[in-house]
Parts: sequence; structure tokens; C-alpha cells
Amino acid sequence: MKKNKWFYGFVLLQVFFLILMSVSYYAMDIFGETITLKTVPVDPRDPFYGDYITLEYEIEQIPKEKWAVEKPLTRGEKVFLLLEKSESEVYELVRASTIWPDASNAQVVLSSKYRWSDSSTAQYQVDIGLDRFYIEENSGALWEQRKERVAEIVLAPWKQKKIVTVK
Amino acid sequence: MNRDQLIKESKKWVEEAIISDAQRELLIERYPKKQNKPLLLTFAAIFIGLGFLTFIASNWSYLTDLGRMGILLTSLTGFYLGGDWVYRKRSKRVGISLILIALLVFGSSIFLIGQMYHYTSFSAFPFLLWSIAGFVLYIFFKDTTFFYTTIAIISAGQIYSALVYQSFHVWMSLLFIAGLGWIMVKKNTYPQRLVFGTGYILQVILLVLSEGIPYYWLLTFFLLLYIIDDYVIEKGKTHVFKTISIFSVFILLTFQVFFLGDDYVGELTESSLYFFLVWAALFVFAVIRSALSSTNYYWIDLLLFVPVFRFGFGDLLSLILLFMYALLWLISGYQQEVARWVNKGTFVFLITTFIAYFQLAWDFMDRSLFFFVGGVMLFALSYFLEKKRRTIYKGGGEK
Repeated sequence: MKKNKWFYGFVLLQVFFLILMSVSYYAMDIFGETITLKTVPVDPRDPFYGDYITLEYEIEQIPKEKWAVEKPLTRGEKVFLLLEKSESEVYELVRASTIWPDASNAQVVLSSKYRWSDSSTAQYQVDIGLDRFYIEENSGALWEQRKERVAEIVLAPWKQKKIVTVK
Repeated sequence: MNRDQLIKESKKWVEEAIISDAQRELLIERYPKKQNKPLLLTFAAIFIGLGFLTFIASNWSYLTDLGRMGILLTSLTGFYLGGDWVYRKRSKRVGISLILIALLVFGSSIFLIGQMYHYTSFSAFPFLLWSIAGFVLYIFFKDTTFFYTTIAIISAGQIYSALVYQSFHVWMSLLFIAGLGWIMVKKNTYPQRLVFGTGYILQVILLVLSEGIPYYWLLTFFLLLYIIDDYVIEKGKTHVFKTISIFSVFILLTFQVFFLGDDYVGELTESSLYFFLVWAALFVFAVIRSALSSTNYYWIDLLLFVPVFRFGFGDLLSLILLFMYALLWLISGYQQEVARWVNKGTFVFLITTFIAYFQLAWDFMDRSLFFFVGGVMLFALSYFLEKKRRTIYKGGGEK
């Protein structure tokens, strides 16, 4: 009977974990910090994009002078982006590094994955993992992708993030 | 004689005082009940589970996020608790199948919920959680189903990690070595060893590929498996680790034959001091062990683990190693009249000849001529070897 108790606990643990995954998404709205990011025009790769639009952000393209990484990175390595609120309320990149930077009051840190670098334009490309914004089904055609927009992002203290709106 | 027959017959034996009642019981115990029905029931359970899951999958897009959560959580707990109940009250096999479905529901729930709430993942962490759940289920039920399932999850997770993140998931491999390795040593059945050994080879290959470790380290990993065989597997049982290790190193040498001539690989093989230190330690150990062992012929296996990649003509040396390995087994097989060794030697010799022929003649021979000459050569060779082999079998038979 004792073994059975453990088994129930084990089942409960899995249920809790799954519920946590779900709850944390909704809890972000309460505990998270909202920031605004500028997006850049994207060439729609897939003409049938259906129920989401593809987004790329200005802060994902990092010029060399803001790239505070010593060694060459391989694809997929973590890069931390230090962002600061500008006068227009949009957050802009201060510096990108592989060690977690200290952020002051008006600053936030976003984690991203390294993608590639282009030596001709001296740019580094990272991925903050928010490249899809899900919209109502089949209204994708109404969204012109070749346009600059601003996206509102919620950052949770537990480092989760999501897109709230795209304008 | 099957159990039912025995029960009938032995009743008479007891009546005729040939055996006692206690002896009868002992005899009957020797013929355990065969379990045919549960296999069908297992399939029934799995089919019902699959039917249920595909039904959800096809209606997935019509559901709200909370509805989806509800379905996933109910089916998870339902299969777990139902499985547990059936396991205790009705049939162990069916119970295990239901719990297996619950485990699969748990794994797919992690991914489905992650997708629902747009989770971004930086590693194969979901697979780690999933495999831990599988491992814990093994601890609860001690059923090998979960042993194999956990190995499958870890292998899939490690492949996923290598493909998507180009990295090796250390924690998953720790669970593999420490957790599943421990079970394997304790239970020690042949299929478990086979699956574990194969899983190990997969892990080390992925480790080398995704972490950019020079490929020759595989040699030490294979050698390690070869050595461990002696400690894990009792004498007289099939040395499955050794077989897997030899098979893997054989493939490695074949690759060397084909690719070691390239300049690119030459650059890869620089700065190998640590490798040689580790390799030397393992190799010396293996040599000492084989020298101390009762069968003096197993040192031939160790030939394959000699690293030849540092030489400019490493491809040729690899080929020579393969030939020496084949010939030495052939010769000692004939001398000691061990048919198994002769078979092994013959097989390796044929394959190696084929490899050598492919490597040497492919580039400058006409294709049709290449295959034609190759075919004739293999024919002649196999005729000769088969004839030799038969004389051994005959010789052995007369003895």
C-alpha cells in the first residue's frame, strides 16, 4: 500500500507539472513586465502562412559594436540581450553578451539563440524565439508582412515570454 | 509435454505410487502456465489507447486551450489510475500496457502544451523529464517494458538534441548510464544487454558528432564497452557487449579505409595527446586482462582497437588491421578446430576483401568490369574458404 501512495504522488507530480506549464502562461499577464519592440519587414517565405504571421525584430540584428562576445559562437548558443527603454517607449539594444548582464531600472535582459553572422555587413543575427504571432485563422492575407510594426511582449520574472499584440 | 498433459498424467503416477504428491507439485512447477491471452489483451489495450488519442488529435483544432488541457490531464490520470487498478486487480500485462499509454500521453502532453503556449526551448529538456518518468515507472513496476521505453525516449531525445540544438544532453546520458545501466547490471538478461549496448553506441556517436569531438575518440568508447563486458556479463553467457563493440569498431575501420586518405581528415587528427593517454590506459588494461584470461585468443580482437589514424597512410593500415584480424581468427580457428572462429574469420575476410577491392579498384576500373571481376573474385574466395571450412567440420565430427 505504501508503494501505491508513492505512485499516486508520482502521477500527481506529472499533472502538476503540466498544469504549471499552462498556468505560468496566464500568470505572465499578472506578474510580467510589458515591453515594446520594433519589428523589421520580413519576406514571407511561405505564401500560405495561414494562422500566424512571421516576425523578426530589430534587436535580433546586432551590429558589431554592440556585440560583446569574445569567442566565435556556434549556432544555437545562448546570447543575452541587454535592452533599454528609449524616449519613444520602444526598447532598444544596448549590448549582447554570453554572460548574464546586470540590468538597471529602465533595462531588461532577454535571452536568445545565436543564429549566424554576416561579415560583409558586420552583423550578428540571433533569435529571441518569438517569431510567430498567432492570429485568427485565415486572416493572414490581411496582414501585410513587408511593414515595420511594434510588438508588445510580456516578460515574466521566470524568464518566460510571449507576444501580446502586434500593431 | 505441456502443463495440462502433465497434470493429467501425474495424477496417475501418484495413484500408482510412482511419485509422491510433493514431487508431483515440483514437477508441475517446472512447466509454468503459458501466457497467450495477455498478449492479445495488451494489443487490445494499446489499440484502444491509440484510437482514443487519434480521435483527440483529429478534433484538436476545434478545442480551446483549456479544453485541450482538460482532455490531456483527464486522459493522463485516467490511464495511470486505470492501469494501476487493472495491474493490481486483473491482469498485470494489460495494466502495464495502460500505464505505458499514460507515459506516452505524458510525453506528448509536454510537447502539445508547449506548442499551445508557444514555449521556446533551448535544449532537449522535455525528453529528460519524459525519460525520468519512464525510469520511475520501472522502479515502481519492475517491468522491462519501461526499461526499453526509457531507452527509446532517451535515444530519441538525444537524436533530437543533436539535430535541433547541435548539442549532447549530458543529463539524459547520465540517466542512461547510471539509471538504466544499473538496471541492466541487476537484471542482466540478454535482450536488455543487447538494447543497452546498442543504445550506448548511439549515445557515444551522437556525443562525438554533436560536440565536435574528434572522431577517433570513438575508439576509446568502443574499447571501454569491450572491457566492461568482462565485468557485467558472467562467464558462459553471450558476450553481447564485445560483439557490439567489435562490430562498431569494424565499421569505424571501414570508414577509415575510405576517408582517411582525404586531407580534411588529416587536419582533424592533430593534437591527440589526451586521446593517446586514455587509449593507452584502456588498451594496456585490456591486453593484461586478455593475457590473464583462460582463452588465449581474444587478444586478436584488440588488434582492431589499434589507432592508425596518425599515419599518412592510415587508410592502408586500417585495411591491413582488418585483414590481420580476419586471418588470425581463420588460422587459430583451424588450429584449435573451433568452427565458430573459422566462420567469423571467413565472414570478416570476405567483407574486408570486398572493401579493399572497392577502395582500390572503384576509381580506375570500368564499372561493369568492376562488378564482374569482383563477383568472380568473391565466388572463388568463398568456394575456397567454404571447402576449407567443411574439412574442419568433418574433422571435428570424427573426433
